[in-house]
Amino acid sequence: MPQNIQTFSALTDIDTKRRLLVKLKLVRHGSTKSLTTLNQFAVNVDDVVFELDLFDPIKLQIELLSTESGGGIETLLEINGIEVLPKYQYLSSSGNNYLTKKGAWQFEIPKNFYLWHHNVSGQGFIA
Amino acid sequence: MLKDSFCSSPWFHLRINYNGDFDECRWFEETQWSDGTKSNNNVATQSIMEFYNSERMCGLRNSLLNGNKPKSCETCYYEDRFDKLNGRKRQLLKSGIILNEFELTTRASPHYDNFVYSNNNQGVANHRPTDLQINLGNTCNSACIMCRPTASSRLEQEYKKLHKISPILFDPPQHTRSWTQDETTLRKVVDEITTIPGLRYIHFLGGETLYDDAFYAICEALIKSGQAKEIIIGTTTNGTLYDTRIANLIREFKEFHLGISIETVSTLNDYIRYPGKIHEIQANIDKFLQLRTQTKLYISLRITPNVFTISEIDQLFEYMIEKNVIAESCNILYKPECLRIELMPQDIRQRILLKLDALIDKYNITKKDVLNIRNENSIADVIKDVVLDYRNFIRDYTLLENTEDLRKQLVEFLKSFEQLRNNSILDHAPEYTDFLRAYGY
Repeated sequence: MPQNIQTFSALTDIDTKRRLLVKLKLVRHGSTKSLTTLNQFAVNVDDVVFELDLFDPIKLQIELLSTESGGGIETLLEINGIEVLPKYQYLSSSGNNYLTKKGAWQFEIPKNFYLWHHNVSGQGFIA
Repeated sequence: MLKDSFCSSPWFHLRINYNGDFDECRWFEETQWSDGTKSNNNVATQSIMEFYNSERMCGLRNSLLNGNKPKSCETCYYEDRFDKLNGRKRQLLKSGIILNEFELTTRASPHYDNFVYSNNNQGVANHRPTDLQINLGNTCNSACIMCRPTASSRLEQEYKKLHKISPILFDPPQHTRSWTQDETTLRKVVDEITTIPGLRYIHFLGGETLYDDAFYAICEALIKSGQAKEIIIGTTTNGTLYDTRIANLIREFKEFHLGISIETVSTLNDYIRYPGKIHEIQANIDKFLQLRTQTKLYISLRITPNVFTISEIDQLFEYMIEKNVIAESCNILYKPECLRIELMPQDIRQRILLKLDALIDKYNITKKDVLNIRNENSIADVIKDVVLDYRNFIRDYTLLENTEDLRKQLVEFLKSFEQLRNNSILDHAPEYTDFLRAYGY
């Protein structure tokens, strides 16, 4: 991202494509099987990086198909260097980023990541 | 670079001064807007919306969009050099913009389209003002020694006598007639505010706001118009007042941000913030803290440490920690110059540093750099930041060039007040005895 913009007009020329660097990491405890999608892209590895558009909503879905007793999947998510999971795990469908029971789990940032982050991190009102 | 100069404030904010003149920003010095000529922008003759898209506001927006650093904003740019949480950072945050991700957060800002509109229309804004500062006037029941007659009616009276005692130190006060004393103008402003849709925040300044009828007139009009539940009110009080009218008012608003001015938790506060009594103020703080548990009241302590009160700041920080209440900002007093912290004697400076370092060790304090200091979940971190800001300032400041003259001036300043008030600084700050005697006390 250019950091030497001098005027607002120059800022309007910035391409907003592929401006969100989304790092997803699944940490498996014990033997587990799952299906993972991020914005409907199938995720086949446990440590992956996506580039999304600045205004893209984000929808992470994991279906835990099987797990051994005491096992599970820990989901870590970081966007543009900002910790999202586990920090905001309470906003996920189960309220937790550690999946231990078979079934579907979901975490969603419905729109505009930075505005979402402003709100959930308690940065006060937008004027 | 644009990130070093841009501010979103003029896209949602403006200020009404004590005399009714408009200003573009609450962080402007009241005399900073011009070269001394009288303002043509006053609430008596212009509406809020007219000023909002006036030549001055459009000019400021254009200047910021073009990457300039307007002279009137120089205080914020100066504070940027010390990485202080200043007005610019606070206002940018209200647009969802943070400096370490400036380009992306500006693009993602809900105000981005408004910036584009202004960029294409000579600075005209299509977003309404949502954040107002209203300076009501100087009606006040206190006469704090570091205040000025334009902000305290009681001090205005004292300055008439102080000027006779020491004409060099105390200018003759000019009578301050605030715009709120004109009923027609007050009614006009109230009528307009209650018709501006989407107002989010109004900050009131006095005088003593809770002692000013205009404050209640405006707030009660907002309640009547149904806007109160969507509006955050911010104001500062000297802590001498608490009654059911205030408590009931606080309950009506979406949030109420109350700054309570206090300098120490000893009788030194009585001397500085005359004639308030610290035990009464602390009792009122407890009442407000109790109200905080039942309402959306957010409380901060507003401190303005000076050459004397700085010596007890560790006790004030302990009080803040005990009460779970923050001190807002880290404003370093520089007027009146003879009360500046930098004038304290070296032995007291060393003692304060030891006490603050002990406090830092005791609570394992590290810098947190909280941006939104009015977040109830960040109180402990905000206190830590303030403690470190003051410790660093006391440790790092350099002596003023005219220190000796200012110390002599300090003694004359105190003696003048004490002649009127029949009190003595030594009854409240005895550790300064040798220091003050050395300069003629």
